[in-house]
Amino acid sequence: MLDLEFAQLSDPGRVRGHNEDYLGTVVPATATEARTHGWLFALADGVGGQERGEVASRTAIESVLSGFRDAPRGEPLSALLSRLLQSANGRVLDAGMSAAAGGVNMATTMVACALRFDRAVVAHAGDSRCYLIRKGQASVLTRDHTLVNEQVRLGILSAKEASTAVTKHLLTRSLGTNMSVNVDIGEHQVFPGDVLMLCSDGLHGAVEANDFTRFLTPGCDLELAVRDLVYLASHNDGSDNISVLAARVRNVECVGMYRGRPYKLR
Amino acid sequence: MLSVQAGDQLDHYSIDTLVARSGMASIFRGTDLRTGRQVAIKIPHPEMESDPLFFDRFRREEEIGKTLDHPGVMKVIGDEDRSRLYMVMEWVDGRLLREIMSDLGKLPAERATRIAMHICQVLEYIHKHGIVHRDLKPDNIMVGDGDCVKLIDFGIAAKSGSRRLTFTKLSQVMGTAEYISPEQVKGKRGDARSDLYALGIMLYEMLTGQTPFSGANAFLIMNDRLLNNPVPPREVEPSVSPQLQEIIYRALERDPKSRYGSAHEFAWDLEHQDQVGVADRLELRDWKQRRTPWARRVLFYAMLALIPVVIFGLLLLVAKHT
Repeated sequence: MLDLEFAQLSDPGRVRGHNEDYLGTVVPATATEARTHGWLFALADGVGGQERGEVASRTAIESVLSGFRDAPRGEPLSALLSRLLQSANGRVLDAGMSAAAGGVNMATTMVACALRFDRAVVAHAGDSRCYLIRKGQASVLTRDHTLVNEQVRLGILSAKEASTAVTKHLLTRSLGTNMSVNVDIGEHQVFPGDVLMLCSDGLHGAVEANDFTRFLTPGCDLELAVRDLVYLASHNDGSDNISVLAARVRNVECVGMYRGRPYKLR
Repeated sequence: MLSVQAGDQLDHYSIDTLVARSGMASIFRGTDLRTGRQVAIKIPHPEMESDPLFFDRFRREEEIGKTLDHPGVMKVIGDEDRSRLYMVMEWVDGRLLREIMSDLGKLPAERATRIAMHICQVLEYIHKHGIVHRDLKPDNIMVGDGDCVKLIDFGIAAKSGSRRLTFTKLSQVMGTAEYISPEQVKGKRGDARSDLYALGIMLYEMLTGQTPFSGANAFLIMNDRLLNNPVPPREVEPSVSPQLQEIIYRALERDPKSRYGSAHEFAWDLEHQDQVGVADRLELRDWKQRRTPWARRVLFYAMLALIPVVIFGLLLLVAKHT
């Protein structure tokens, strides 16, 4: 059976008085639930100033968590996450529209990682990231939806120019901005010992990827590692909210698919 | 905070008529009840008052308006205690350059030159005071009698880069896609030369009735200026003189170092067009070549696909010879 351990921490940073990041998890209560629904980890980073960012990120996470718990048994994770993020987008948009006469601008990024058997499905919109740390190597599974990143991808901007651009925080995709959102979804096989790490830009903007592997070592205490990472990000920058969620795969259940149904592999 | 309507009184100003309404604020014509003077009163929509980005922009506009004293800059009347957030400005009779261009389509070269020269004079003044407008466009220029101009809306927030925003707020941070300079597209703050670039775009638009760079959305419009050259103004409007076309090209140089160094230089060329040397520009020949970011990627993948073909060809050649 798929078995995980995880740790999470969210910190407002050294400058901001409030925290616009929000984290959420769904842990299966039974072995059957781990097979029919799986695990879910989600992180959202609100945008909008005042307290709107907080409302947006919390609304989005709560929508995704409740949707995941109520999902039909065995629904494919990529289809499920796509549906849940679209639904969360609608909820945030509605919350913005009903917040004041004429509506207010309220949006959030979102990165969600759902795991079942030996598969991890990562869905995201915005610049919150998901990293996979395997055998001492950290690789990013998501692509930032920011203006400069799109320009780098198209060869218009160099990576150096992008790092100093004043527009590097301008999001091209987020939940709550439009009626629908284009969500990126990726499916990955996981192995025992892998660590999946979700983080907001407060962390990945202040800490190098090498440091992730330095703290998230194979036998480390996740709680401690997460605390150290947040401390390091706060020490290096600290101008933004810092959130991190790390989940280590203890055991997986290898399955094959036959006519859309999983069967156990030995 | 309740919204204000015509007929209301706000502190010692009477609100007379609604003049304009944008997504962020309403502008009313009003009267200062102490002096009887006509004023323009800009009142943000209630929901905008709590938006920190808008608040920064509003405050910056007010501060700059109070600092500058030039007939070409709309004066902001600093005031004592106010019961809510609003800005009082001098009343200006005139029309927005955007309205004039919408009515006339194209402007005669003499008039376009005259307006551009007046804008240059104002830019020279504000740049000397260390202020860059950063969002110069026909919607921010009032044209009065004798084509005298007044710049309005100095609101691009000073420290906007530090805050994360969604793409819908692009113009509030960077400027307007059609008029933005290439260095601003690349994420730099821009300097006085960015304003001169925007003026070059406006001069192009006044003469030809269209902006030089286009695209399906703001992202593509912005990037178009980094990849392509505009249609030469004389191709769109043959009555434009080669000298005036050269002036536009000098203002629209992609590299700010090659552009006019100051508004004074720009104005001098506009005033002495007969002395402007017309260069044989590459832009005049290769403007038809349209490049898109995707074309570059297609080319890259095509080259990749060619590698095995070339290897196979070489192997075949070697096999034939042995």
